[in-house]
Amino acid sequence: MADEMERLCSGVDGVDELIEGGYPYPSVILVAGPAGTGKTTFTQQFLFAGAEMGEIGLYFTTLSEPPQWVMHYMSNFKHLNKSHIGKNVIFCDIGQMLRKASPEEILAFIDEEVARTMAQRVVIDPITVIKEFLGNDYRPFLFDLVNHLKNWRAVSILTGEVEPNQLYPSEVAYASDGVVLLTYEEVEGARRKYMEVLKMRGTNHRTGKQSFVITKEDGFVVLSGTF
Amino acid sequence: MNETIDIAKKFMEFFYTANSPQKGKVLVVSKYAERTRVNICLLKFFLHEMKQKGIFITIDRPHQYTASLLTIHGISQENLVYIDAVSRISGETEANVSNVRFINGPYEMNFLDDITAISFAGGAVKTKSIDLDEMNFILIDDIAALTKYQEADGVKKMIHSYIDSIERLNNITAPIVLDANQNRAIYEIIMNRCDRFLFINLSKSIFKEMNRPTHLKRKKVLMPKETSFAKPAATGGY
Repeated sequence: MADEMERLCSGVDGVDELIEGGYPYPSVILVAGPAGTGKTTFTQQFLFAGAEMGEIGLYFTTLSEPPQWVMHYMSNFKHLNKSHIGKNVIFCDIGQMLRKASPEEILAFIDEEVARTMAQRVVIDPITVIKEFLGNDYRPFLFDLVNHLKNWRAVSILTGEVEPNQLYPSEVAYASDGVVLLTYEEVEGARRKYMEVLKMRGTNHRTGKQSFVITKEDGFVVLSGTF
Repeated sequence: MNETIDIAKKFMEFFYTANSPQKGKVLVVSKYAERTRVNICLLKFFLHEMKQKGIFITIDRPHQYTASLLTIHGISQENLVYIDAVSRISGETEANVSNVRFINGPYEMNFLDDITAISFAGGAVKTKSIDLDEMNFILIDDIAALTKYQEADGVKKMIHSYIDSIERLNNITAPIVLDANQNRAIYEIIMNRCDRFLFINLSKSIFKEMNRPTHLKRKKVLMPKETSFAKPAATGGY
């Protein structure tokens, strides 16, 4: 009599097939990778795909990068429907707040925004910046954040910058229900991008590296086959 | 929450006839991903629009999340009593709030009976009693979550017990919100015991009364394909 798990589509061609149709709902997913691998693009497609179905998506940027700059680059992607911005895709800059707020205040602010919008999809991009501001409070903050986000009934993607020689930010990976790794590697003289689902709780996910491309026409697309 | 302006009218047409509330068990079919919004719409309608009194039973998450949502959306909880069956197992602090009753969680077979026990209890536990005769509606969030804590037989008993309790109350409207694809067995039990059926899809602005569903269409689930080991192209490309 076990529940058939509800899933929300990833919005990225080729990903849903790897994870039984989508991310478990509710859940918190870490998307980790070094700069330039497409983490923000990956999350934008997730939000805009939900918006196409009438869902609400909430994007927290932690870098003090105003939404107009995020959209400046995203607007190159032809498949993102800009009419959703401000309606079904809502941008929220918490960069300035991180500099002076306590963990409790940050959590309360995120709680209030998620509750106010009743978002089914949430992105915090990147979560790892918060560590610099919270220090020793970071780990308990993460556990509280993950617990709250799931109780708000959202699929939340937290992006994580990866340090040199680091596979993924371990504190976030431990607290998350899923881990998606984005990497680039040199293969036969060319630098290619790969994604890999390392963890997806409650899901028979496919393992192994999947090659992907990012184009203006289609955005982030995972290619078929495992490499 | 702007959509609730129209939804309030729809709920009025569905739940009321000639300004009199229609009592009984209503299966409200909606996507699980819209559960929070549908619950808030229902609560807003009963509490805010119709000024009714009711009970909100939480199984899936602590009551504070719903309480916060109602506060943020300006819906008074003065006439709402929470029965919180999950805070004790999720390590939440039991707030000393007059409109919340904490009960032992959904691991226990008879926790829904406990609600009735609380409501009818007198004497020493008088302060915790709930006068069900004063209540106009009861909403449970989320009855399918029982499957996390109980085996199938236990879940069936609890659901029947819950619906039996509702049937003993003549003066109450009891929407049971469920995703048809979430759990087939539970859906069929509840469908067979409900009096009326409502389908809501907020994203697509669909709101319609249904006949008793007879055919259950299964959701297509994408299964992972077998792993293949194609080699990357020799040069560039990707």
